[in-house]
Amino acid sequence: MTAVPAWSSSSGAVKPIRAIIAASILLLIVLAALFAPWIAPQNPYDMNAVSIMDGRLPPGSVGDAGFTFWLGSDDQGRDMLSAILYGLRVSLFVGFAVTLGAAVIGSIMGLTAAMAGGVVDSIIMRFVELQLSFPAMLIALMLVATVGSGLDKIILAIIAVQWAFYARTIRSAAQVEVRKDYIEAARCLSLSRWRIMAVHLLPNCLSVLLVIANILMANAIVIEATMSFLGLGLPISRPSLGRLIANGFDYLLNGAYWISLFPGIVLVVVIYCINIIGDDLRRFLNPRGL
Amino acid sequence: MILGRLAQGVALVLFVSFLAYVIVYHMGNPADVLASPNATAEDMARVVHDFGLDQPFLTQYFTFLKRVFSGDFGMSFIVGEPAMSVIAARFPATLELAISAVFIATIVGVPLGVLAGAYPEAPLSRLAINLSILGISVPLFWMGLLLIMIFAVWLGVVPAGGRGAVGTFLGIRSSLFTLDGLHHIILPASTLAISQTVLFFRLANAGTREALSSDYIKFARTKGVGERRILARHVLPNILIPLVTVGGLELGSVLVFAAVTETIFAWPGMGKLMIDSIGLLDRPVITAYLMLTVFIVIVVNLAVDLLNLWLDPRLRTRAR
Repeated sequence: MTAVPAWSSSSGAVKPIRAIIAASILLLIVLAALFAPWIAPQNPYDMNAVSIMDGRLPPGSVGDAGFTFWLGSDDQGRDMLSAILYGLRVSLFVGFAVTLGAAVIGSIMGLTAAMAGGVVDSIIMRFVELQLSFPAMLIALMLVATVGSGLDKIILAIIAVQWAFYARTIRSAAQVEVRKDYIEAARCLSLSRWRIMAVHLLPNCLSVLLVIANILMANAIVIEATMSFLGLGLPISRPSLGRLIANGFDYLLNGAYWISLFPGIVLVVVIYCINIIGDDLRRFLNPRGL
Repeated sequence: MILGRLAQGVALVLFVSFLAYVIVYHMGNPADVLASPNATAEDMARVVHDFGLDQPFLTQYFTFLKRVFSGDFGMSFIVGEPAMSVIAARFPATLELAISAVFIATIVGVPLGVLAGAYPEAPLSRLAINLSILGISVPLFWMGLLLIMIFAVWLGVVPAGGRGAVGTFLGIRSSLFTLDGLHHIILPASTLAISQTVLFFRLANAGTREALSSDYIKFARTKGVGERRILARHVLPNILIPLVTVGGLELGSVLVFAAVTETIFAWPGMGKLMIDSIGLLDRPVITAYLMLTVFIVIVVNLAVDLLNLWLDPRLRTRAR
């Protein structure tokens, strides 16, 4: 039968306290982002609510708008706390959308390569290797520079560079499974390829998929932030965390540290939590080949 | 093995050249940037014709490919000089940044990784391992901003950007040979080094743990070899192979992240040039940058293979 992933590592039981704390913090952040319109002091996209007179206020000051800018304001007079909450929505959405898209495409390609073998396998894997031998960030930069910026285009560009990582990992995990008896049995029952792939093969590659999806989701958020920072990502009208940081960079040397600092801290906390969860997941699930 | 690598390299060059060309070809209309804002339609047409932008797509590609093999990437649309020489002029600055970063990563990451692997239960080792996860979680560009904020704005000990004075040593011109240059490079190099440091740390850590549980280490211990000598003479050579391999494979991303670092620190390297060129739609410079990068990646991959053959005698017999 199939190997059920044991919730312990080879070197004794690992207590997932670290991962539970990280998951709780991450959950709080996701909830805060989801409910941003209700909890943010200000709607940062509403130009009527934003007063330029409140521009570059240091953290803790009370502006014309009558509320306290706990994290300061940016050059346009936007409340940084509100901008961060709204920016989180963009960054997290990019992370989820890219992970979903790249994982689906990559898994289909990886499972197909492992199932079919032979020429199909060679063609898919040659292409994957070729793509992986060139830096992902560079390809994403070029794609976005070509098709222009915008939320949908950023997501597509990052999917286009990330699917190959999923394909390679899923294929190597599936190759081990394909040789096992239960797949042989399913083939003897003349089940369709799709059914074997989806119902029998995929569930047994799930632990590997989970671990790599975790790493790559953090990676997708960082790629988006970096591209937005370079000015090749999302426009300032609906800023992600990366764009907020880039916006603050211009004022950093004048001492207005808070515009870049706070969005960056939130970004790092999100990525750190995801990576901690990923690190512990890898230890618990202990998949081979990772 | 070497022949296979070479074939793979040629395939990669062709693949990237086509990809670069297709991508860059569809990237806006450079005539809009080239011609002055109040140019007439006639002026525009002349600009388009002069730069060969009115030729069919494949014709432009083959012209491009033919030129590439003779080292000619065309004139930069912006500065009007050969694209390759524009890049070549900026290359030394990027190279010294990358070398400094790899140097920092090696002298910090490898010893710490070996020590943390040798004493996994020590509180300091646990701290270092947790910090290494934090290290991969901090986006490079924000790390750069943080360092500028702390060391340039608040403490004022180093400049926030730019390349310092360039000195000459043994006929090589580099800012690494002047005090002012070193003063300028320390922040960008440390920024660029962070992800490599974490990577080297984790690889050295995992490799050391694995090596320490092997029979040859147990045998060395039985012989009474000292702990320090075991680490330096028996563990280190055995963990070098994955370090060299991954370090080499990561060079491509070092070059890309150098572009980000250069943008933050106003470092006049070829990465910043590429980012600027994307904004200015300077196609010849972008394609020249991509081709140079893919060339460097391939050469380094080959060098890594050769280095591994030299480091690991077992590979030599297998390769025959």
